[in-house]
Amino acid sequence: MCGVAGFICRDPSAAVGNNFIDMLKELIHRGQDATGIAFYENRDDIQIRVAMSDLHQQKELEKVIQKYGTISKERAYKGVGIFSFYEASVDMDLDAIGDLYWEIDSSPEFCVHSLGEHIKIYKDQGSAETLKECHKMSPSGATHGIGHVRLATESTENINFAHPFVSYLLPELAIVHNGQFTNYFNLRRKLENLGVRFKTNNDSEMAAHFLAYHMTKKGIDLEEALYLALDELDGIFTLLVSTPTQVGTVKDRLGIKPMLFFEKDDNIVLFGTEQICLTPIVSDVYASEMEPGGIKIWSV
Amino acid sequence: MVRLDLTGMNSRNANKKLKVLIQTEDEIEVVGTHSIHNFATALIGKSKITAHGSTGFYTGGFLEGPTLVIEGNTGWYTGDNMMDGEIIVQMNTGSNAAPSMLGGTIVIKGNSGSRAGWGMKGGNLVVCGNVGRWSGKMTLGGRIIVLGEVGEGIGESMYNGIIHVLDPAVEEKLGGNVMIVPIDDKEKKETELIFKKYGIEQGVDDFMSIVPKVYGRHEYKLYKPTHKKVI
Repeated sequence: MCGVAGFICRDPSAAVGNNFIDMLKELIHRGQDATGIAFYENRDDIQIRVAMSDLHQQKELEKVIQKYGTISKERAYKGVGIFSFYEASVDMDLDAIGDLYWEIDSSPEFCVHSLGEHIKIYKDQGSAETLKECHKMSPSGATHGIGHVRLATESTENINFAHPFVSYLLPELAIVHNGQFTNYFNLRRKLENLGVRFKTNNDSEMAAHFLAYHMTKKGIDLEEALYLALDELDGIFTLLVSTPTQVGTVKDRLGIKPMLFFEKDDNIVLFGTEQICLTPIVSDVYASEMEPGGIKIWSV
Repeated sequence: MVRLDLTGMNSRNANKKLKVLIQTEDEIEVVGTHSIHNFATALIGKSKITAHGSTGFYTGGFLEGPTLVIEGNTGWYTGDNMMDGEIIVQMNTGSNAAPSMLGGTIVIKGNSGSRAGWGMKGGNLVVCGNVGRWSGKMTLGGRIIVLGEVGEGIGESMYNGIIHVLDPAVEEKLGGNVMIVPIDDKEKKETELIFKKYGIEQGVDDFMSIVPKVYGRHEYKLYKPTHKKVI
């Protein structure tokens, strides 16, 4: 099943980000294995978030990061389940982000959740309520964001397999996915032959790498990449994709998986699997449904 | 008349309560519906149940006899496998309204989503607003009446049954294996009776009917990718 939600808030005074997690609360019946959100904010430092298998590994992780830059404002804490989290601001070269990303990810003890100038990703097991309580996030200044509640069907129940997914190729791109890809192994093999490295064996991670690979190596924009995804990815899916400047969505041609959107006075755009998840932001909504095989892009 | 407050109650308990009340009460007023899923499913009886608020998925599924009035919106699969009785939704419904419905009447005063009346086997579905794509697909019987616009692929692969529509652009949106025929006098009278019963002010002379073709099969269009393969 799974549920997705997202928002764009062009008016900072509306502070939609504050209530974003409540949108996912309304989707609790669509999955409780894991909940995750990715949001983008205007800030002037690079921030990193990593999941560790134990709190003691913080020193080891810092050693790796210090090879690339200096750390400040670090925080390490225990998550809802067995994993611990590390969060810090890193003063480093922007071009080295991909290398640092992969160096951390190559250790089985760590998994980068987000690394970038705008993006921040929080994901953990359980419901939106427990995510909010445990992680003490502050998305109030967020310009846009996407979120996901997971019912694990295709791969293991591990928070590193939870959405949103990012790619080290384009760390500021995040995706959430509702559905299944039936040509996952074929496309993964093709991408691996082209040099793309995978961290998990979740089919949605492939979609993140697929889009990131074509946007970076082939130089196409988000809209073209989504058209390509519509043709190349097989199965039933709706993808909600965000970059620091755009949010896009694609729905497969069978149109099985729902995706609704609602625009209010040019300032707020809301996305969601069900209409009820839009109600914490705008109480009286009448949302439009994405057409099967449809692609839509919004600028932030 | 009895009043039932569903605040803080889950679907199972709400339906258990309704099942008991329906034995003795003629009219049940329900408040605090908080978009509850599976509202009033599998109820057998003759009572009138009025919900003051919106309800969630599978509202009135397997309903057999009662009259259900929802003074708000409903979610997906309203009246799933309904056997008999009435469901009147004062606002809109989600997708897949009245799937596999066997009997009774569903009246939707607002709009409905895609796939309204999928696989219907009997009864009446009246939508006063618009319906989405693939409505009336693979219906096996029954009657669907749409007063507003219809979506693409209406009546696709119908086996039996009939769809009455007003939308002048219906010909472009017609599904495969169905055709448009004029509404006949018997159908006009039956439709008029339904409109009169539910207070719908609409003439019946302009309706067109969609019925399955009696011969021929689909032309299947094979999917061809429009983009070049990059990898």
